[in-house]
Amino acid sequence: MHIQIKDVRKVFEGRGDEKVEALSGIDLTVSENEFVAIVGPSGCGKSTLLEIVAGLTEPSGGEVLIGRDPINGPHPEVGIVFQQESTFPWRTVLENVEFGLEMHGVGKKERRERSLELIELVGLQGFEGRYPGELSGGMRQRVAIARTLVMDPGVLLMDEPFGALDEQTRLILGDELLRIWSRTEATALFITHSIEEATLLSDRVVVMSARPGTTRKVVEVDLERPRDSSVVSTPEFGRLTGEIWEVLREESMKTLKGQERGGS
Amino acid sequence: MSFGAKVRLTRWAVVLAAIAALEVMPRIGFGDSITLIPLSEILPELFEMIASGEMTEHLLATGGAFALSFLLAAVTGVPLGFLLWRYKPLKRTLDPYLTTYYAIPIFAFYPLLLAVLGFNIWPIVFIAWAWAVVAVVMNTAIGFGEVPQVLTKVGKSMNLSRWQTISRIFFPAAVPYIFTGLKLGMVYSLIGVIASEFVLSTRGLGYLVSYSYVNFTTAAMYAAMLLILALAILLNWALGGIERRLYGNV
Repeated sequence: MHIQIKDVRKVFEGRGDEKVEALSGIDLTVSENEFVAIVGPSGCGKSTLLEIVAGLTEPSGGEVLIGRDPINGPHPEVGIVFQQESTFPWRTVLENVEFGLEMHGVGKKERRERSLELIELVGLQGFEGRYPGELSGGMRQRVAIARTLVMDPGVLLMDEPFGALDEQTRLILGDELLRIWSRTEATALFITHSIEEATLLSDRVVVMSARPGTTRKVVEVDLERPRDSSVVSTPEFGRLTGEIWEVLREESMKTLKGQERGGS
Repeated sequence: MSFGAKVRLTRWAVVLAAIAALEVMPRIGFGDSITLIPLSEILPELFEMIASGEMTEHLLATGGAFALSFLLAAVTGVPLGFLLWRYKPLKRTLDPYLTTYYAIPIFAFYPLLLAVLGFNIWPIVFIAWAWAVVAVVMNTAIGFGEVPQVLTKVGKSMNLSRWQTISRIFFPAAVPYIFTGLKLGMVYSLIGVIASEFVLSTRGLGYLVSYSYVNFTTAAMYAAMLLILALAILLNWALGGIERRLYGNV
């Protein structure tokens, strides 16, 4: 299932006449089963873009298509994983993963089977009966990923799912994510501020401009699949991250200068 | 010894020291025998009063009024707290009243309550309920307001109905706050009942304390106080147990 983002704009109404343009005309197509990462300076509107694709935020202009369906609310084929802590602390790991199926009336036996399968896929077997409070941050994010994947989404959106974790853990979970994703048929759109993570995971990296966000550059990542974090040390990886950094640096400078002038 | 073990040991030491002080102080002549008597004389009196059935009437009266007022506070307070969170204009309107509520000495209105409700259990239940309910309302409203936005986004992205979002996300997420309110409400309604019984009743543990005090039956007075203390601890512990159960099962 592919994603088409057509000239999507977003303007936030501030107090009074104040208006903040977050996104100014984004065009991006993600093909079936492709993995695309979006990097950009802080505040460039990348999370807003993801929420628009997820149907959680309405765009001010333009449109998003999932397959053939124009988006005007959450689409059943779209799953999303957030950066913030989003597991339910009152449910066990198994009950967290079962949540969506339970809400949609899937029978107990079937949802248990499917959930256990996903728990195994994300490497949490043995923790089914634990509560999120008893797990590490990385493990909780895996629970959130399993809870989204159990719905078998055709499109998987991830908003810096490992953003709160340190770089080493992030690369290792990146490996895990590659392995998990290769087992699903999902089209993936991944937001991050880590160039390494973006390059490691994706087929294409989209670099966004400083606010108002547009697509500044698209870098093809022609590293062979299946891959893992050992590619980080190859010269090809270095060349790609260098290429991305060159553009991102320029945009991040603009953001910084804007902040120094007193904007935000 | 680990830090945790030291903490536990110190806690028990505090309890033991208090008990020892209660026992020793009257024996070494601290205070007169009408005001303070050793624990070893209070406990037999308590057991005697329980065994003879003398305590039953008072325990039932206090227990009944407490149970009634606390349950009423719970079943009215939680929905009211929910409405307060759900309808922002309501909250805006009532906010000044709610924040100054506990400045009102509700107890001072007891003559009016007697006139309106009669000399029966209801003035007591009303005072205890009125004392407890606002703590439940406020904490429930805060609890619903504190639910992280990301959890509602999870619900929305899964196309949950409005009812599912409230019952399966908001409510369980607010449970710890609701229970904070219920625990406070429980203490307030118990205080409300006991204090009301001092003047508004001829039965109950509060009545027994004040009656024994006036009649110099000091052992009976302390026996009643001890029972109130035990009741408060037991109730708090029971509610904590229910919370832990519920939190794992919603």
